[in-house]
Amino acid sequence: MAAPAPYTKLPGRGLRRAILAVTATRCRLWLAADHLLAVDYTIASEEYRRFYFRDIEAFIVRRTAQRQVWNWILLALLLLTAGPFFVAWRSEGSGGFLITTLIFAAFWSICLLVNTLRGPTCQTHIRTAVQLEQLPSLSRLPVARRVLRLLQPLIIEAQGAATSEELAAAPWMAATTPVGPASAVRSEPKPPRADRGYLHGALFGLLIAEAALTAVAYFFGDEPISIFSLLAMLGGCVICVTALIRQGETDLSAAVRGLAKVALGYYALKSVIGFVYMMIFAVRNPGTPMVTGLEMVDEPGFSEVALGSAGLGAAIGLIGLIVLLGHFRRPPASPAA
Amino acid sequence: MTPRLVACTKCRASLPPVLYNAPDLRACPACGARTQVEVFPAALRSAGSASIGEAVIVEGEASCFYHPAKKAVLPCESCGRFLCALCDVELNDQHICPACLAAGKKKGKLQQFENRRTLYDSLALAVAFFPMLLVWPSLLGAPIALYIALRYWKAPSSIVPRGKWRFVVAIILALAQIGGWTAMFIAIFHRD
Repeated sequence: MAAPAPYTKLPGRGLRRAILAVTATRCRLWLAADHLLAVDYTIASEEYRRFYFRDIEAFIVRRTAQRQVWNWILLALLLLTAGPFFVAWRSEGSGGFLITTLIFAAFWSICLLVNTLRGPTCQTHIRTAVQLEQLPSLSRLPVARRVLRLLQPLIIEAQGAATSEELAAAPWMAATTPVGPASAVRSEPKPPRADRGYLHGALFGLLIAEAALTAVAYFFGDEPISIFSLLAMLGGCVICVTALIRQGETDLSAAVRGLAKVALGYYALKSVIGFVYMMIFAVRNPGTPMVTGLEMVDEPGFSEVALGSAGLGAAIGLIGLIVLLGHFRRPPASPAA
Repeated sequence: MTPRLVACTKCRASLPPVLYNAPDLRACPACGARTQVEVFPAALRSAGSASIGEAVIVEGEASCFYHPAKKAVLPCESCGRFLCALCDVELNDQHICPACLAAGKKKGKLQQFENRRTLYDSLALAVAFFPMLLVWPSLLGAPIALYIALRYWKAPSSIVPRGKWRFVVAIILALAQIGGWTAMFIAIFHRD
């Protein structure tokens, strides 16, 4: 058996921006037996800062308004692209323009959703006797709290609990009393959150529904059904991202989680292929309105690609539902403490 | 035993101890920034004064290699020289002398002192990928990337766990580019 790695990756990643620097360095935190390692990555090197548990005096987490600022920016971008989309939709404008604005609007929507679901932003600092350093990887409040919960018993174990004299001088120190030995905290991971997998079920169901709608739309040339197929895809994208964000620390099987990732890859691939075909169509047929995508059916290979991707989506959805059925049949896990 | 007060990271004003170790975010009294402060016992314990080493009292008593007038307290675990309390450097439960510490740091044997490493796998990947975007620079970039990947395949990488997939991708990209250029040149020469 291989020896255990001396460092364990901690959640969270962030950017450290230097004043007047063109590039920012990526930052991550790693956990060792007796210290915390902050790693700054550049293109071809990495720099280390070590904070030994016995030296850490305090963590300072300050909530910032960065999430709200980004949400306003993303909302403005969404409105800027969604507005022209609806104008073009109502006036049956250029199909290429219609789909381009729709793709951009979907992209901004997903960014907005991800930014909101990741939780409030914060700045985290670590203080020792001789330094105060920012930890850019702990830039989201839920992540910062999770990491602090993990580190607290390790630091207390390294420093020893506060003595009665210290408690008399600083009564608030009682709140740092460790819940148990640090080794126990390390060896007993947090119990997974019970998740029945309804979100994943909806995702796999939408994949099958989208495939069926696409097949019907192409075989019968039905435009309204084609629009429903497009809406199913957009809904599936949103649910897929939400499911991927929420599936961490749940009792869902690795297969279900993996299939959610495969579904995201499928949506990304389908969007890219659709965009390429749309561009080809717009170049070959300038001025031809395009609303549902069925207009591109005469493009060489388009029907085959569309139906093939629908089949692939249906297969992912079907496998997902079968795997999820096994999860449903399991007794629900006891709720996390 | 009074703790050094923690300052607000926004306005630099000292945060009152009543905010320490609170279960949730509390507003800074000076600027109102919502802050959570987790303070540990180390904040209460001022660093003890450094030991300067005890002087040799009895003649013939073991003395420090570097300070013959000081009493030896333990041997260096690397070179075996006797050390006084002043020369004893504790590192990962090991006691070593400053000379071994300096030598170890210079030779890169002490991972605890490394504060930077070059990531040749990322370098190879960058040299294989970015010139490809501008097409012509890849004529030079691909062989360089291939050289870096093969030359530094076994070189020490990051001190944190890291796979070799970047090397593999860099080699594949570089070979593909070299193959593409070779095919293009063959086609040009055959056409002539």
